[in-house]
Amino acid sequence: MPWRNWSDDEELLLDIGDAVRPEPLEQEVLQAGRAVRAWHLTDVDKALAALLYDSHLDGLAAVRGPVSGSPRNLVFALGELRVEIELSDTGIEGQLIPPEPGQVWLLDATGPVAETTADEVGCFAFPAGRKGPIRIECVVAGRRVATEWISN
Amino acid sequence: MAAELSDWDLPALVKASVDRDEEAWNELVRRFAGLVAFVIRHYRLSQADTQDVSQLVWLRLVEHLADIREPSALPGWLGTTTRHECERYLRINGRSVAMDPLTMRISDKADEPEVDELLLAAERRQVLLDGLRELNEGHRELLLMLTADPPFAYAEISRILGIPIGSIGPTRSRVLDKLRDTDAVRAYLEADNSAQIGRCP
Repeated sequence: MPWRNWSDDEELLLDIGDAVRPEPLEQEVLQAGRAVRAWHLTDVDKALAALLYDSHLDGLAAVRGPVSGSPRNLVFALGELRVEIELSDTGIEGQLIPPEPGQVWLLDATGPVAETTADEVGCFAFPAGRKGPIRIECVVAGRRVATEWISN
Repeated sequence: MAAELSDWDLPALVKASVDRDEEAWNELVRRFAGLVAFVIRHYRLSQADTQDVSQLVWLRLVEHLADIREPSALPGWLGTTTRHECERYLRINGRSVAMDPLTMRISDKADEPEVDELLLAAERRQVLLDGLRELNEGHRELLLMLTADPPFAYAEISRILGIPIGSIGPTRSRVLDKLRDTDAVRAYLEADNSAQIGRCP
């Protein structure tokens, strides 16, 4: 990419014009950033469970390309804790390992959108129909844990 | 308040955002939306995909903010994260990104600029925007009118800014020199990146 020469008045002006002209894509990105509410900034003290496995990235699907409509399995880890979830057209099913009952929340960029209870074997479920980045949050052994954000 | 925020330097903005200042966060988003959009445009995502990917980038930034030791590394981090999310998004959705196996770089078109160059171009754009912000309003207005599309006629500029037509040309080069002498542009040109930008002084 040949860079314009900023010591040349005409070339510098061309770069200024390109820099200041707003484009629709940038507007889109700006709105997405504003939609990430301050809510997130006020709640940074939770522990983060990192993505350990994503069937659409790590499995056979990553080689062949995911089959359209096939469920996507994800595993998140924090120390001994595992949060396993399966995303499919019918919804989200998940399990806390080691199994433990407790409150579980589904969040999108704007905040919590659904709440449920994990049963005695740690299983929980959410209905389908959410588009965009999501995460699961739960309280395990008195500690609030959130999974990494995933695109959905 | 908002007018003052645009003058804040990056470390102050990052710190205020970590301290849960929503205005500072919005300013941070405003300042870097161009860079994120710049990288996303390279992957030709649809509008809905753009929304998802950029939201993911901002969400990751929220979590990353408190760990930032060196705010000047933020543009690089954002560029890399955006690129990473774009590629991940395309893979998850079953659309492949052609990669050159040797360099692990995108190679869907021979004349595509490299990602490093995209980041550098985005950085150069940000440098100019920061530099423009340092100029006084009259000077900034003049440059915006000269670079508008279509450009303003000198007669119009003269009428709106109240300067004689004859002095627009000289003022123009003087203001461009002022822009080159802003902290943002000077710091960029003085940094040791002459190898990358070739013929820039």
